[in-house]
Order: sequence, then structure tokens, then C-alpha cells
Amino acid sequence: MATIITAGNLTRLAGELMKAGCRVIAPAKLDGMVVFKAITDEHEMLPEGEYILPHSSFKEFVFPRTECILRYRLGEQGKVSYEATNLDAEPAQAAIGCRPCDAASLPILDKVFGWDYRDEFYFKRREKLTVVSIACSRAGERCYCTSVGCAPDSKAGSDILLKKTAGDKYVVEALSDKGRQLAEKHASLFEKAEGEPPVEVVDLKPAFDVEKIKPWLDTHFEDPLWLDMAARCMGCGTCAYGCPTCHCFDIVDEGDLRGGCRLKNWDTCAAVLFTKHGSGHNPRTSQEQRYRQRVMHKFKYYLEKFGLRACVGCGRCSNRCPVGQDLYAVLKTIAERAAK
Amino acid sequence: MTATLTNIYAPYLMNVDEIIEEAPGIRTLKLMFQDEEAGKSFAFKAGQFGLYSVFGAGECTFCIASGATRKGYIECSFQKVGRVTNALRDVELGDTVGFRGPYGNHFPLDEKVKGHNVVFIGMGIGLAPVRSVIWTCLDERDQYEDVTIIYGARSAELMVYKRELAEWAKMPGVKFVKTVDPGGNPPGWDGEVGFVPTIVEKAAPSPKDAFAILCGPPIGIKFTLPVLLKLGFDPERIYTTLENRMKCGIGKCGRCNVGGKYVCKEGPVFTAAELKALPAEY
Amino acid sequence: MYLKRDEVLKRGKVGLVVKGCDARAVTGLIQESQVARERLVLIGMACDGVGEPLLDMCKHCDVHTPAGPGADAHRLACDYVSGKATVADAKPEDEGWLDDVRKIEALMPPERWAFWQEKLSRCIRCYACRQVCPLCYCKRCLVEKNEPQWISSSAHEAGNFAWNIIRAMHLAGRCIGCGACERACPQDIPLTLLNKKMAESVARHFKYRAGYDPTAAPAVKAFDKADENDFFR
Ligand SMILES: Cc1cc2nc3c(=O)[nH]c(=O)nc-3n(C[C@H](O)[C@H](O)[C@H](O)COP(=O)(O)OP(=O)(O)OC[C@H]3O[C@@H](n4cnc5c(N)ncnc54)[C@H](O)[C@@H]3O)c2cc1C
Ligand code: SF4
Ligand code: SF4
Ligand code: SF4
Ligand code: SF4
Ligand code: SF4
Ligand code: FES
Repeated sequence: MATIITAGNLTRLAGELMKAGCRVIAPAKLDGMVVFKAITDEHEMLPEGEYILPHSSFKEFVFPRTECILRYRLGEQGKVSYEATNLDAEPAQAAIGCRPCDAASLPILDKVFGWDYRDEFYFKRREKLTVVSIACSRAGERCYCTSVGCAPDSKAGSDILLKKTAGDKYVVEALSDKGRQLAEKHASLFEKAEGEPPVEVVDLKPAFDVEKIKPWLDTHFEDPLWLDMAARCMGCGTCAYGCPTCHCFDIVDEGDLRGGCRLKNWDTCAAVLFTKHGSGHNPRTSQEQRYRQRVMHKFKYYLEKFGLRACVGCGRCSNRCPVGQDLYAVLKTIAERAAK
Repeated sequence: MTATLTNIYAPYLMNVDEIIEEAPGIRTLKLMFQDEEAGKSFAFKAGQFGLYSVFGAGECTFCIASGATRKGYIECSFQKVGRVTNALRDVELGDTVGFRGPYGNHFPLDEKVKGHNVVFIGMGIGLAPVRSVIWTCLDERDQYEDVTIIYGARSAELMVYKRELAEWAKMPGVKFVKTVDPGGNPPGWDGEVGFVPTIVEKAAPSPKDAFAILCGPPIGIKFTLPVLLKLGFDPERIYTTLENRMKCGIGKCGRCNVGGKYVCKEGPVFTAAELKALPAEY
Repeated sequence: MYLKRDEVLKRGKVGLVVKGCDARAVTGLIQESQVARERLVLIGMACDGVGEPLLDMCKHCDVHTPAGPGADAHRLACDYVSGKATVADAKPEDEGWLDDVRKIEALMPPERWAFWQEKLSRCIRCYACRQVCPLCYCKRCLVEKNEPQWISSSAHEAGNFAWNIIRAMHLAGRCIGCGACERACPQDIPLTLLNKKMAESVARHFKYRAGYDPTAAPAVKAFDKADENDFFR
């Protein structure tokens, strides 16, 4: 027997959660864009049919663009004291209506924030987050999850996965304890259905063989292709900041003569200053080197280190790049080269 | 103490206990833990580094320059180059600074070097990490065979740890060579004159049963490594450090990698053999 | 924007295909001594406007056809010009380009504040706006200067206001209105509104419009004893 939730009840679920003090993160309109937003009214949440993928990922809610890690006070005679940020009071949060690719970014981020030293700023928020994703019945032009080993109905990172079925309803699959608890707590919103209702999941064929990418990268650190592929990149942070799996940051102090904050701010390997030494020496002086780092990091280094690629194929970097730098095309080219 | 275990970015609060003017633009700070307990339990290994902070200016990365055998305090030597190092220059005795660490790997003294000959080569402020190993080793002198120290700086004035250099030179069983770049030698200079690679070649320490520990600016390392290899040192037994830009020091912020290696975690100490396997992005 | 890259500069003479608006950007760079005219081979292309629907800036464009060889010294002359635009250039008295600015100006201050607060709070400090701008060419942007830290690099409200306002200020009298920044902005922040307001002020107070006359002194550099503002005298 399958569990079902209607679209209307999904909206009600958002409302109930908010009433219970939970921060609900859902796709909502902002001018012409669809973005993930901490909604204040359940009707802000867009019906699933009205978007494919929100403009930016929800990583902001586990890894904010800027956050205070400690507050310091400058006292008399050079004495300083500080108070470390405590996130225990952060509310529980639920992401409703996100896509399996975004959900899949969480297990990827878990790796880097958790190896050896555990980044509580990420994990406290992460642990409080319940992810209710909806499998895709349509795909965008630059959706290539299946090419990088993810899928429109993949389960990674989701606590509950919904799949569209006839009559504006979704088949519910609770995948974790968090998901089961949520479903139990709001049991009245869920219903039972006979048998296995047919579900709509888009059939997205892989565009290239991702297994070919890493072996090529292993042997082509130096290759004219980098210049060809990356000369147009102008080194902004758009791709990294929109990417659900990019996790680089800067640490800076900001304050006045009395005190201030030490902040953790998003940063990107595309920026010139990212790696520049105090001495002026810079290991990555050109934009090709920096773009190469992006590809290498996602498809080689991360895979070697953590056993996962740092890309879920959401296509945001391609869609958002101001100069049309297209990771999808780059990967395709590499896979084709590698196949030769 | 506010440094909780859960906030991995929270530093220890340290008192500036001593300020030593090493050379123009270079200073050494001796830092005591404000929390005595933390000071007692704090331990590190030579070669490791930490993030030092001036509150309001930010954090920056230095190696721990004191010997690992000296407890209760740490020392760092720094050159002023930017925002934090400038602010660090303005701190006075008794001021509070932050420190978090120790991070990274270390020179494998206990694991490998003990019981063998060792050659230390330091260039410029790159002597700081070497100094930590030198003291760690000299404090347990009987556990090592022959010790050679070669130190070069641009000029005699720019040499760091001047008082200790004299001490090392006088130590029995320590071969000490100091050198300055041509033109950097003042009248009455009693050391060598020449670039470090040349002097290493000239001093020709024996590679037999020996380890080499080499630190300095990237360019100095680049030219000294081949000399050591030519002298017959085993690339697996030459250790050096990389100094990539770092922010977190603990494998999170993503900026220190050379190829697939995070310098802050899998470094900063690398063997010449490991370096060779990495892309030249350092 | 690629014109100032080391990789490009290394390669000697550069051939550049320009529309009228691009020629204005090149004019700006020449005026500010960022590129020498001799280093460029300019191929002008007539343009009826781009974008579907037609970009607002194209509707009010007054340089549909770039000037060619033999143009008067106060226009940047391309080495070659291809074609002739079929649409007429906007008239100087056309103030249509300011319509959206007027709308914001008409708001009450608290509403205006709320408007900008909402828009600027979106900024993620990716600096795409700066990176694509043909006139943002500093090797080290003010926001990257940390001694002192002039502008907070954090994406919080104060930092974002500081960044976006200073970016616009630094382009006052220099922005040629290409709109690249706004199109690049991944957060859909209406940067053009700020730029236009600056352009309008500069035009009103200094009778200067950016990117037309390669021989003119840039507005931010010009110093005139007859200036109506007395702080210059
Ligand atoms: C493992 C490791 C060990 C190290 N050990 C030591 C050590 O023992 N001793 C030591 O002295 N150093 C050491 N370093 C180097 C040290 O970390 C840097 O010198 C230090 O972090 C510089 O910090 P800063 O805040 O002063 O510079 P920042 O202000 O952060 O400057 C950094 C960048 O900004 C640029 N910059 C800053 N201000 C300006 C300006 N006004 N105009 C133009 N450009 C500017 C610099 O060129 C540089 O690219 C080590 C580094 C590592 C990774
Ligand atoms: S690829 Fe595009 S979005 Fe990414 S840094 Fe380069 S120009 Fe910016
Ligand atoms: S690299 Fe691009 S496609 Fe891959 S996860 Fe990031 S934004 Fe999506
Ligand atoms: S691609 Fe670049 S910005 Fe993204 S996580 Fe990797 S190193 Fe960081
Ligand atoms: S419109 Fe934007 S990108 Fe174009 S010149 Fe003006 S500020 Fe620069
Ligand atoms: S492009 Fe937009 S989001 Fe990026 S820094 Fe500029 S204003 Fe902010
Ligand atoms: S310094 Fe942050 S990852 Fe190495």
C-alpha cells in the first residue's frame, strides 16, 4: 500500500509546520525569479508545476552567505574577550518542494564539513533540516543530473521523496527517521492508496559518460583545452554561489573600536585573490588555472578524497553564468576527448 | 575559557608575553595561554601551524616556531605583509591575541628521523618552522646522530634568531653554516657569502643515513631541492613545507589545495617525492 | 571587459567588433588612458537594437550606427563600418530612458528605502556586475582593499548597501549605460536604476554624457574654475 499526499495537503503541511515554529523553506516568487525562501505564509509556496528548479540552491539555509562565528569585545589595555556563536536556539527547518539534485548536495557537503573537524555551523543547521523533495516530471534544458550520476528521483539527501501521480497527488516515500517522524506527526495530511499508483518521472538520458571524466583529468592537468574552454570566464562568483555543492569561504573580522564579529563569508576559487599569498606570489595567476581548479575540484579531487563528485548536475552554473560558460559543454567535450 | 570544543573556529586567548625584534619587519612573539589548564594540556609537533588573530583585523597563518619540547607557551615569528601582520606588529606586551591550532601534519622526528643524521636548511623567515624542529631535536640531542644546520638570509641584518644562531654554532656535535646573499655581508662577516643552493653544494652534507629538512620561500626551495638530490639525498627523506594561502586551516574553506592535497591537512610538510607528484600549483 | 586582461594585452594589436554602445565603452577606456587607440582595429557594426523584447536601453539608443573613418574628432571613429541602422537615433530631448528612475523617485522615502532594502538584500557579492562592466578595470577593486577595509566584503545589509552604492558612484559619469551589469546580476538587482540616476545627475550638473567624445576630459577628472559648485574653487 502506498502513502499519498495531495498538493493541497502539502501546502497545509507547510502551514502546520510553520505554526509549530519550524522555518519552512520553499520555492517562492521574487520578482521574475523562483527562489528558495523562508516563507511566512504557506500560500507563498509555489505549486510544483510552476517551476523546475529554483534559481539558487537552498544551501544558504545550512551555509549562509555570511555568518558571525564569534563576537569579540575589545577591552582596556589590549584585553579581548569573545563569545562564540551558539546555534542551539536555531529553529527546526524544513525544505519543501526542493528537487532531488538539491537534496543530493547535502550528503556531498556533509563530507567536507565533517571530515576530521566537524563544522558545527553547518551541522547544527543541517541536523535541524528536514528535506521533502519532489521528483522531477519535467527537466530543464541544462538539467544533467543523470549525466553526473544523480537522477530526477534519486533519494540521496531527502528525508521524504514525493513522486507525482495522477490528480495533483504525490506518492510519499519516507526515507529517513526524520522523514518518518514528520509524516507521523502530520499523519492526518497523508492518505493511503491501493497498490502502486503509477508515478511520473522524467526520462532524462545521460548526455555523456561521466566515468570518462576523471581518468582524463588525471592525465590532463596541462592541456590546451583549458585555455580554449575557459578563456571567456571572467572570474565572478556566480557559478560558485549558485552551486549547491560549492562550499568555499573566507574568514574576516568586521567591527569598530569596541568590538565586532568574526565572519565566515562565501568565497570562490574563481577570484584572483582567493589563493594569492601575502608575499604577492599567486599559485593560480590566470583564469584558465582557476577554472581548471573548478572542474578538477568537482570531478577529481573531491571524488578522490570523499568518494563523491561535487556536482549534482543541476545546471545552475551554466544557466547563471553571465558569459555563458557552460560546464555541461565542458564535461561533454572532455568525455568526448576521453572516448577518442 | 571560551574556546568550546564545538566551535572549531574559536581560538584560545593568549597573552603576549615577550616581543623580540628579529630583523627589520620581522618579529617573534611569545604567547602564553590565558587559561593555564589549556596551556598545560596543549601539545603539538614540530612543523605544525596555527591561525593567529588580532581581533578586529582577522586571522593569519604561521607555523609554531618554538620547540615542541617547550611547554606552556608558543612562539611565532612573522613578517609584516598585510592586514593582520601589520596589526600584529602593533600589539604590545600583555595584549590579547587569538590562536587556534595546532593544525596540519608535522616533521616525522619520532617516527623516522630519530637515530639518524639530519641536515636542517632554512632560508629567510623560513627558518621559523626549522627552528621548531631544531630545538625539538637539540633538546633531545642524544637521540640523533650528526646535526648540520645551514641558514641563509638576504643580508646579515635580515637574519632571524641571531642570538640562537650563535648558540647553535657553539654546540658540540652541531655543524653550523650561515650565509648571506652576495652584497649582504657587512664588514667583518664571519659566515659564508653566496646563495643557499651554492652553499649547500659547497658544504656538501653527506646524504648517508641522513634526512634533510628544508624551508624557505618557494623560489629558494625550487633551487635547493635539485642540489640535495644531486648530493644523493633520497627524495623520500627530504622534507619541506608549502605555504599556501589558508583561511580555515582545517580542510573546510577550500583555498589551500595543491591538486588533490589540502595543504592545511595533508601538509604543510611534504617530502620531495610527494611534491614531485603534485601539479606545480604552489 | 576582456580588453584589459594581461592575456589579451600580451598579444599586441586587438581587432574588435563594436556596436555603437560598445564604441562608447571603448571611448571611455581611451579617455581614461586604459587603452591606446593605436592598439585597436575597430570594426563598427550598425545595430537596430538587441534583445527580445528589445532592451530598454536600445529603445533609447542614439548611436545605432558607429562613426566611421573621417568622423569629426569628437566621435570615436571606427576603422571600418558595416551597414547602416534602419531605426532612427533617439533625440537628445528624449527622456524616456529615465521613466523607471522617475517612478522610484516618486515613491515616498520610506517606500523607496524599503524598495532598495529588498533589492539589495539579495546581493550575494559575486561581483559579476563588476567583472562584466567594461569600465570596471581596476586591478584591485576598492572592495578588495583591506588596509583599511573600505567596504565590508560581507553580504549583509550594510555591506551590500555600501558595495552597491559605491559601485554606482565609481561609475558616475563613466557608465555608458550598456546594462551589462544588470544582465549579469544573478540576483536580478535593478542596477541600471542606480546607474541611470547617476548619469542623469552628471548630465544635469556637468553637462556631460559618458562615452561620446574621446577627446573630452572625463567628468570625474575635469576641473573647471567656472564650476557651479564652489567646493572645487
Ligand atoms: C603553513 C603556513 C605557515 C606560515 N608560516 C609563516 C611564518 O612562520 N611566518 C610568517 O611571517 N609567515 C608565515 N606564513 C605566511 C603568512 O600566513 C602570511 O604572510 C599572512 O597570512 C599574511 O596575512 P596578512 O593578513 O598580513 O595579509 P593580508 O592582508 O591577508 O594580505 C593577503 C593578500 O592581500 C594582499 N594585500 C594586502 N593588503 C594589500 C594592500 N594594501 N595592497 C595590495 N595588496 C594587499 C597581499 O598581497 C596578499 O595577496 C605561513 C603560511 C602558511 C600557509
Ligand atoms: S564560469 Fe561564469 S559564473 Fe563562473 S566565474 Fe566564470 S564567468 Fe563567473
Ligand atoms: S557545478 Fe553546476 S551543475 Fe554542478 S551542482 Fe554546481 S551549479 Fe549544479
Ligand atoms: S569549485 Fe571552487 S568554489 Fe566551488 S567548492 Fe570547489 S574550490 Fe570551492
Ligand atoms: S551599465 Fe553597468 S556594466 Fe555597463 S558601463 Fe554602466 S555600470 Fe558598467
Ligand atoms: S552582480 Fe548582483 S549579486 Fe553579484 S555583486 Fe553585483 S549586485 Fe551583487
Ligand atoms: S586552509 Fe581552509 S581548506 Fe585548507
